[in-house]
Amino acid sequence: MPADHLSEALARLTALVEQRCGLGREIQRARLLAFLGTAPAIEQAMLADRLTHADAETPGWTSLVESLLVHETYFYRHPDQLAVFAREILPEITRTHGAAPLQIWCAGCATGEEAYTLAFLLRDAGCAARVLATDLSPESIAVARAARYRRSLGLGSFREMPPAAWRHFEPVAGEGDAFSVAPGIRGTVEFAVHNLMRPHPPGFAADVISCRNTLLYFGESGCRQAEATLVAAARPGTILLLGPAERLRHTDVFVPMTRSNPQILHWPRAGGG
Amino acid sequence: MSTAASVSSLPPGTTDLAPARLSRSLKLGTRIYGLSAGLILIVAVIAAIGYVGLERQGNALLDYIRVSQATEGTLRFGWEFTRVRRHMANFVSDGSPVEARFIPEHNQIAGEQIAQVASRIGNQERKVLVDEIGAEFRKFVRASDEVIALRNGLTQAQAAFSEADTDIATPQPGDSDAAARLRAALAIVQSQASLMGSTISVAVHQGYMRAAPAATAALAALPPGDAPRLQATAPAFLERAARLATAHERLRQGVETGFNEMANRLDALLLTLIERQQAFADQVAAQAADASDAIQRWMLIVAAASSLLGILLCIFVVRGIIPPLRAMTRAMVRLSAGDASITVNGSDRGDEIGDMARALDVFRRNADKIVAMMSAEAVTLEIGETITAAARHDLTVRVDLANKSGFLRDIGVAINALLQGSSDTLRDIGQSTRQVASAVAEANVAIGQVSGGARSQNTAIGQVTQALAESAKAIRMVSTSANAASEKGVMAAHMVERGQVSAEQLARTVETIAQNSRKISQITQVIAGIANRTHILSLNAAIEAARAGEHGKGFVVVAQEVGKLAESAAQNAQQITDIVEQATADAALGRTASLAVKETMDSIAGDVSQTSQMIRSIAVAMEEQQATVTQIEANVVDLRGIASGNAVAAEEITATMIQLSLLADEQRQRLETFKTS
Repeated sequence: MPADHLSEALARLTALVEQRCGLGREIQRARLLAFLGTAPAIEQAMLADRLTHADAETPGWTSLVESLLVHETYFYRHPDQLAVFAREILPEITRTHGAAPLQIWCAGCATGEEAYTLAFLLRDAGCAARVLATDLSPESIAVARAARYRRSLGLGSFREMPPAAWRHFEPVAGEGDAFSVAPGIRGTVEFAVHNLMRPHPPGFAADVISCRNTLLYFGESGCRQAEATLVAAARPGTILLLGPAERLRHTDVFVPMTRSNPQILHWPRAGGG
Repeated sequence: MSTAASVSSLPPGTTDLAPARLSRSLKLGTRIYGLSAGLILIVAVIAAIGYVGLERQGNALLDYIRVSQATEGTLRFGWEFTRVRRHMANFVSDGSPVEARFIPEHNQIAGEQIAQVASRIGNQERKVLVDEIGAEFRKFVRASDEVIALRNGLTQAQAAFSEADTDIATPQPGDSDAAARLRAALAIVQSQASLMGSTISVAVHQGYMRAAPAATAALAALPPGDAPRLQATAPAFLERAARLATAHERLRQGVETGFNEMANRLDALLLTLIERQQAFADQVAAQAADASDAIQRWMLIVAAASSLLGILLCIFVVRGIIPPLRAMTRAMVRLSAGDASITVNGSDRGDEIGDMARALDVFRRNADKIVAMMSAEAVTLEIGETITAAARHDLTVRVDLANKSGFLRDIGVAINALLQGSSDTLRDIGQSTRQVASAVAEANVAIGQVSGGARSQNTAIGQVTQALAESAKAIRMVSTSANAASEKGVMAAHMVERGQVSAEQLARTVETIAQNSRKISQITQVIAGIANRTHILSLNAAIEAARAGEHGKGFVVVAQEVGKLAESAAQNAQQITDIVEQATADAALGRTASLAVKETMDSIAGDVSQTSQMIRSIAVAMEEQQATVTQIEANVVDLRGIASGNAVAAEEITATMIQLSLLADEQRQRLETFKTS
């Protein structure tokens, strides 16, 4: 009986998490069990029940959400896609966009590597741009704002960084393996906590949206809501970057721009390409 | 015509007859126009005959109408004439001027009528007759005028006679016989005279003629002087009567000899005229009837002849057109049904049927091609159905090559190859997709395990780190405590030495305590005795206080308290005794123990120095250990970072794998809509 009670409680909790954060139930399960620890089943069930009735602002809930989120990210992730973006897409949109800085939205930026990578690319291409980077996790956003990354062994933030990109970093004095993003870049990137289940502030319209390796954690309903949020923040001509295993399932506003890299999509302008 | 009808049925070349050649070379339009012209001609002939007949009938009718009008005029003339005679008769009998006025009116009308009749009659004989009647009528008019004048004369004479003194004919009393006879004779004359005024006849006149002489004789016989007045007036009376008689006679003669004869002659002439008119009318009617009969006969003959002619003409034309057309239609129907084995007759004809036959022959020659094309269309449709089925994802269908040849067979072969290739490819893709799906599923499980392992590893490393930290702390503590223990060991050695001394002192002290305890025991017994006596005293005091009554009440309480104190003192004393006894026993034991302690202390003193040395060596080893653990701790921190990265990456790979399995599943579902062999 306690096991049943636990599974029911977990089912309710995962449903609530999916409703509030969009995370898929399958993804949640292992992390949720890890979060609940090795306590007796009855205690786990009680904790799950308590969390199910907790507000989204309570510390218990936020710590649960933090533990469920996976902040896998590193500089220059998926270099092929970024290369195509920098080589083929960026010149085109800078040509057609005009003098005003480009609006870039990095949705699901985790600890900020993705957002800074975009800022590096734009700086290298000579484009004036403002990068808005958002994530659900306040802890990750705090890390991203600090902009300090350690050069660690194994799967660290710098695992695939091209050597040329080191010029955007400064070593942190007194800490041999820590580096901070150059202040000039940091000024162009703004970080904010944002839940993709909520619409963006009205009037916001991005020229480029990077939402890579974020939707893959979302369940069916989460995907639908997140895709609606992305579409609401876009307009004809907006470019959308997706992760390699991701697909938009609930909107056909965006279509792939090239056959070679179908994860670079755009909203076609009316009557044009 | 029989040759024309048999044109299409006879084999070509056997028709050498001239009419047959004509019928084969005459255009159908010409035939139909010719037929129409013939029919129109027949209608025209009938119409001409009818026209002539009707014209004759019309003339006869016109004649008849003229005769009828003439007869009518004659009759009206007769009618007017009769009225004149009637009015005349009336006028003659009563002399009324009203009647007299009618006579010239009717005479005038009758004259006009007879003039019209004269103008309408063309026939000379009757015209003479009519003219004669006219002449006679004019005489009759004159006669009637004369009669009127005579009658007016009679009327005047009658009026004159009436003015005469008629009283003389009335018998007077006192008359003589002669006078009476005269008067009677006069009365007869008078009555005859009045008759003559109204009745014109010979008999009346003769009656007068007999009476007048009698009266004259009676007058003559009257003696003079007798009835003078009568004598005076009778002659005038007789004269007037005579005048009247004359007028009457003249009128009678005028009527009978002039007027009536004239009228009778006119009557006879009229009768003759009417009879002749009647005869003429009969003649005209007979002529018209004859003409009508002739027309009817001719019309009947011509209609019958032309109907026969028209029918024959139609048969001729129709039999020359319809049978070849029917044969042509049958041939066309068979050809349209795809039967190219027909033989087209009549292509040697010069008319439209010949044109049609030649055109049809071209179709017949093309029929083989058409059949081939129709079968090609059917085959194309069949191939189209196959392609449609393939478009509906059924790739098991194939084009049947058995009934096909030429380029369609090539197309079928190509389509079959395409379908086979597509089917194989899709089946391979399906298999690959299933493999991918299962591989992804397996990889998913594996990654899940890796992920779980990484998580466990992370947890384990965390635990190791913690354990290392704990252990370093423990080592530090052990090291510290070992040093402390070493120092304590030295101190312990000293303390053991001092303990040996103290143990001896303790033994002695214990002995002293035992002695003191015995003294205390004695004192305690004394205290117990005092307490007992005090208790008895308190009881007595209470009794005494009770006897003292009201004033002793307070003291009873005091006595009770004293009793209680005594009791408690006794108890305390007993406890002290017990304690002291126990202390004595303990002291004995203590003494034994302190002696044992002393012995132990002696032995410890030796061990302590050994232990102290050992602890010192442990402390040194711990310091070394501590350095090693610190080193390990640093490495574990690195390890933890790596494991954490692994775990996060494994999580993301898990999520990616879930997405991949979704994609593979979608792909598989789409492929499964294709039906492959």
